[in-house]
Amino acid sequence: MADMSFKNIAIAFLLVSLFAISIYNFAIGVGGEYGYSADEFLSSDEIDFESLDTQIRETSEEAESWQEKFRDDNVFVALGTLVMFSLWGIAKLMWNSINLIFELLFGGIAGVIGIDPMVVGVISAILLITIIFAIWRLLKVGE
Amino acid sequence: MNKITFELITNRNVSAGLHILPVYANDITGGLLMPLLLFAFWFIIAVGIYFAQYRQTGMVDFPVGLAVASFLTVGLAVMLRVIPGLISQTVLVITIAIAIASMMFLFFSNNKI
Repeated sequence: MADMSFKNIAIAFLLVSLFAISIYNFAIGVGGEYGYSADEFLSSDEIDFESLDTQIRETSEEAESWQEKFRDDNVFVALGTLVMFSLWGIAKLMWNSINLIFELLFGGIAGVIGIDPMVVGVISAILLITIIFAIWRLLKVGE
Repeated sequence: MNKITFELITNRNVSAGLHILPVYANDITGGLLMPLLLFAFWFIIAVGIYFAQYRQTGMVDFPVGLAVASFLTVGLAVMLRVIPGLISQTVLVITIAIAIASMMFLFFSNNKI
């Protein structure tokens, strides 16, 4: 088992999210080249990729708004804004990444295998508590 | 004893393309052939990487083999999905879910990220 420090958990979640988005984009891209829409190619009755799509769109819109802010404003003002809000932005992005994996995996598990919603709820609660403790450890111990 | 009946290949227009053969084979097996083929592909690569690592280095990092196999299987599944009638949406989505789960397994089990 890996050293479950907050840094490692955060990096692992971000890397998994990156791979999830890459796989999703690859599938949508290949489907698009052969005349399939994203819904036709990937969405099924059992597992819905709509939440992943929404997350990706939201993250993309957020990134675009940051880009616009950085381009339009005075550079020093933009830098100041970045410093002020970057922590919150990064925290939100990390939370979105973690949330994305939860929605994707647990939605899929619950849909395909037919696991009871209570079991899924308990597993996600345990994971969320682990993350909260990891953040607590980050604040207390600093790793 | 009842005999299982299935459609003959003469009902299909094989001259439409070579893909008609696997589509036919998939149809008469009730859509089982292609998921089993994908499973075999995934299993052979995962186990192959496992034993290759063991033979070459004497040490085994199984999550790596699993992640690589899942990743390649997604690639194959996406290519097969382009041909109508081979892979259902559900099977493709399951391969993607397995790939993401393998990535999680890899990143959370490796000490050196």
